[in-house]
Amino acid sequence: MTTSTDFEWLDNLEELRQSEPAWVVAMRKQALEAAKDLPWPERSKTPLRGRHADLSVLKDPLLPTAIPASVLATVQSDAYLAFGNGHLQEQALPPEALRQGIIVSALSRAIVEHQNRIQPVFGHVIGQPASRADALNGALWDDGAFIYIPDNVTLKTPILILHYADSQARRLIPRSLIIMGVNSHATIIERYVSASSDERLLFLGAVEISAQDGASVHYGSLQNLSARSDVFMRRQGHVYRDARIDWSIGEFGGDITIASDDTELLNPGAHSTHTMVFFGADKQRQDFDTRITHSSPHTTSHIIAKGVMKDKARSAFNGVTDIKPGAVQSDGRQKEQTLMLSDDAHADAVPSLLINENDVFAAHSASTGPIDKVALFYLMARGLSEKEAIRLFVHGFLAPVVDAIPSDLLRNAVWDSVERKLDQ
Amino acid sequence: MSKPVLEIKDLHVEIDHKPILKGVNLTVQGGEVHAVMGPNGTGKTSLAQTLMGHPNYTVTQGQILLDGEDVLAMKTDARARAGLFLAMQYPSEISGVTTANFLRTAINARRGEGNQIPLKEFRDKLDAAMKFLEMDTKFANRYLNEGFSGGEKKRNEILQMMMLEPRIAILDEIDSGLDIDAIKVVSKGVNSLAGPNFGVLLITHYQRILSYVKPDVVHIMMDGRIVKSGDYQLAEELESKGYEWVRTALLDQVQ
Repeated sequence: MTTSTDFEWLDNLEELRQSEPAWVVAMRKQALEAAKDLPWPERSKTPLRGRHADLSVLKDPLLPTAIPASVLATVQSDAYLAFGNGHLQEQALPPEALRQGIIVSALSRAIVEHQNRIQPVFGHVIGQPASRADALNGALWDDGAFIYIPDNVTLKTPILILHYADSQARRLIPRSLIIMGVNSHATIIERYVSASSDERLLFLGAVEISAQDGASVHYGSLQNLSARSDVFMRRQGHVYRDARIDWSIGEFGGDITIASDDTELLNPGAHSTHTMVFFGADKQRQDFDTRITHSSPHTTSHIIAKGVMKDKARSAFNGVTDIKPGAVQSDGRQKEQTLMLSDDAHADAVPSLLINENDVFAAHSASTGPIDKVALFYLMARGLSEKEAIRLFVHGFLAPVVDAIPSDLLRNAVWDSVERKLDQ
Repeated sequence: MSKPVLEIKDLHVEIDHKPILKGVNLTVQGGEVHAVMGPNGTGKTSLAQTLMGHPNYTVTQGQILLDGEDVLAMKTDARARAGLFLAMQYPSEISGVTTANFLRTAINARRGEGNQIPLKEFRDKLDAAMKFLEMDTKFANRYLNEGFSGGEKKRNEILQMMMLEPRIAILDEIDSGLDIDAIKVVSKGVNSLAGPNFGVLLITHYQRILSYVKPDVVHIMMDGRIVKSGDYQLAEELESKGYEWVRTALLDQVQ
């Protein structure tokens, strides 16, 4: 798609990032080198050839922007960060959270102020970039959240993070880092929203979560970017002894979406549930790789995906449960279901179990199919319009997964997103 | 509202280009119960599904009118809102949608924008109807028909009918698979709506239910046509002589 010469103008990173510590700039430069040689994410169902992501947008300055009140209202919480075009615009944290040592900060500030905490983890959860999208995020991230929950601290209030791009923005490169201390507990929800625009938006997102021994984090993410967005998302979690990361991911926006979610269960007793709800309309392409790796005994995981495709939308969901040798008594499960609302929509769901250990339990199921026309007839025979019948049917299809999302706020936001897709 | 009149005139229906109904004539009015009997595979269910606009059935000839309005020009939901109700032989299971939520949505669809049923009124009406049908109220919060037994599904169809208060109800083998106690309950539900503004087209294979829902007219359907109509005695005659009698005595006459 692009040759390495396209990146030469970026080699003055040091000038651009003068205020950052040298170790951060060094990481950026290393990532930039990697970006030159790495390909874009390769997906069999979503070939990117012919789609030349315009990298010149990486050069333009990204100016701060005010976040519209209606968008800001979606992150109402006592603890939140709101970024407009990658610049921190608003934030709040309850005083008691501060007293407990909780940090909710812009990453750009935290790399200076909390260097000791960040340096050992930042970039190490994701590790070597796997694609040009990963590497470009590592090189050029604008800003994002740094969240640190100290050992033995529980935060009841959910932490909300908003990334908003206005209609002028041509790129958004957020990156967040979450460190859950030993036996800490929190709910963290990130939202991605962009104003509708005729221009394309290149979105390169990354999230790293480290859950130390006994910690538990419910991490929610809801993506409602504009229909002209190329969305590349990378989420990675490390789960240590008896800790858990529960992911609730909602993917609704974008034109092309390519997401890679990776969770590593590193010590005994580690658990992760990865729940994803996605809805494609018009000509959207959505391609999800979700992997959970069991590298230790007595680790458990569950991948759950529910997707709805309408119009000419296409999706591919690849779930991988990877049980490494020695991960005895591990339990990995997957369940994927997709529903197609039109004959032109298409959905693939491919669960894979990679098992290199005998003494484990693993199970998967996947189903994909068109909406049940007889059921629609049944609903319409009671006076519901076709639209209302489809709405009810889709609600019913998604309810078992959406209603199980532990956070009211995220659950309602996901239902709102579903509603908007149905009306679209 | 005036007394409903459902007229079926010379109705011909195909499924996958195969003729199923070959000229059905039938008129059901408010205050009347019509029973349509006949052996399996003669088109009884096709008639019911066609009246409601099932997409698999194609009308090739004839008319269906409700109060003089062309039913065939209406989509399924418009037919329901005009007052037709079909209790289905095999109701769909709709996961994730509770019976209560569905019924409220359906009632509101009939009442239209700005005239939604107040929640309290809905709840009271639902509780009363469930009690009347001897249903456990927890069914209201279970997903629609999901995991219901055959009998529970039939009762749920009657519950929906009582809640929606149609003008003409088409009951497709509402009695099949039910024991006698359940038939009594279902019949009680049908009879509770009886009156000049409610007509019934009761499709059944067996005479049993007709002891509880008394038909004014009994029709015998064979090979896509109504071959004989009469009063309640016709059902009894059929019961004693069997369908073979119809096949030999009646079908030959019409052919």
